[in-house]
Amino acid sequence: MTTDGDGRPPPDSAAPPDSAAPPQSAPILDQAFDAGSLYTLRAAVVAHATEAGLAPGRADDLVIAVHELAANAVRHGAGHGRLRIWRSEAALLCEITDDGHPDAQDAQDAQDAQKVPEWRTEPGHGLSLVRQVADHTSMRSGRDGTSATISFALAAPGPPFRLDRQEMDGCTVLAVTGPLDLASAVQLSRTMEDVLNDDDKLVLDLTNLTGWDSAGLASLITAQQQVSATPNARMILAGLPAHLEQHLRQAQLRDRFTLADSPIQAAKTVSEP
Amino acid sequence: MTISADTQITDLTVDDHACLTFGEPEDLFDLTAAFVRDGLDGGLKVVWLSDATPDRATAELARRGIVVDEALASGQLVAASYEGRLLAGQVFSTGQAMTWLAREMATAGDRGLRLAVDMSWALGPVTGVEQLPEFEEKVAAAVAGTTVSVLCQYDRERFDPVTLASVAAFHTRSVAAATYYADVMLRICRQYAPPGIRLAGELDYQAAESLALALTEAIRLEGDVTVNMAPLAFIDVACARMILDAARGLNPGTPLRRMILRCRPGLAARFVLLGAAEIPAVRLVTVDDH
Repeated sequence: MTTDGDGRPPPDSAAPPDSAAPPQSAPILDQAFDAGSLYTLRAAVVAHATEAGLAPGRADDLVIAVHELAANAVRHGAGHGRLRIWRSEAALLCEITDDGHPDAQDAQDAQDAQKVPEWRTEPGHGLSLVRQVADHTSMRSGRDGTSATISFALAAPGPPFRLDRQEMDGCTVLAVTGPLDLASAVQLSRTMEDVLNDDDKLVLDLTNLTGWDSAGLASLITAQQQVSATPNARMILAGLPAHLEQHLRQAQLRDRFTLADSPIQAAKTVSEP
Repeated sequence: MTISADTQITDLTVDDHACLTFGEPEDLFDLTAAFVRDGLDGGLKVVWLSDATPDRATAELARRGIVVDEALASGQLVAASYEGRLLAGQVFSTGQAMTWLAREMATAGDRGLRLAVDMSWALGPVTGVEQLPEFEEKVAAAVAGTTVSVLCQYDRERFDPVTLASVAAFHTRSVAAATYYADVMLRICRQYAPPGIRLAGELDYQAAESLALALTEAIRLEGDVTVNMAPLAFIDVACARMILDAARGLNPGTPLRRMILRCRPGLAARFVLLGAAEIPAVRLVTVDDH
């Protein structure tokens, strides 16, 4: 978590604490929450996300991100908080604030209470998933409370999903066009199984990939795991657009994949003995 | 949190005359599948009378892992309607029903018989339905001390409490699905076939204690554990992690115990992002949206 200069949360106004947001606009959703109203908060978020044009998979991602941040405020912060969502032309911007004093010991006690002694619990919490699904995430924490801001880009008009398969220099190139999401990810997964039956050198050409949701991201992770489990198989992701590569880094998933700038370069590399 | 004090379906033995109450068709099919599975495994003849067509009834059993084809072909398993057994047209009489039961018991002989009867026939416009308590009393007398067990299945949403109370006394046991949590938003209950738990609705950290109890009890049994989340619309990170931690804790001995996570594609993606595919015991099975 980062703390802003004077350790205070952003001023309480209609404008979110992010220069990317429309400073003058009113939020499309402004809702207080506590432990008893997380369900209604999720229902309101999914309704507004869908209304704003987020595809079903992205709307689910927004819901889990807001829920995790709100639940964090309830459990480790003031016990209640406030969600505001603004809509700009390009994105939905969500701010979750609470005015609590996140006491380090209380937070630790709360976490300890959640542990089930028989099972090994993994470090980390909902925040890592928030970073995986949101386009941008920022946190501020100070004496007067905490504030988390996440943004979800609204899909720009683009080509529909398509998957093209061709052979190049002794390897198989799968080119993805359009969004890799809840609706299309299953096609990539099925094709991956077919390809791995025929060939163990694979280039995934993502030059024309326009975006993904968690289902799309999961299908890439699963594809890499299938490749890793196949003896001698290799897969290189080629031409991943810069903003999506940046997202991979933020999600701490970049190291799982081998990237190349172009399909031609990837085909050369993947075919090397 | 509610924990049922009822007998578990898997605890039934010979000469039980048990009263099963269920709240939704999923419960009925699940509990019946466990009753049928254990009967077939024990070499008993198994008969299920219900208002579902025999094809639908056996398909529901097959969907829950019961190997029905062989048992149907050999006559060990029979799924049938009420007509000619409990009912003649829209008329019920205890005499006719008991004659049918005696014939079934004689046919099964020493092999033993498990009989499940969906009692929803008594909700229809049936003449003679007032003989229901008398019928239950006679069934109790007929199966006592035999190798026959009878499971009467009552929909607790559709039968009135007075009727349920009037027949309860004639049963040796009462059976229901173990329920760990139930309110309008969420239900956490045991699943009997295949064994595990079923989660329906929206699940977040506030029900983590009930989830932990359900998982602990499911893991205490032997074999694979199914976490059926097909009817689950939302799960938060705390609960998803708890399920994955439980899978990590399954002893990786021989044979390898697996945890089968059945869920919709969106939830499956969440489990992948949380590391499900790196856990050897986990098998993710995606199901289509309802």
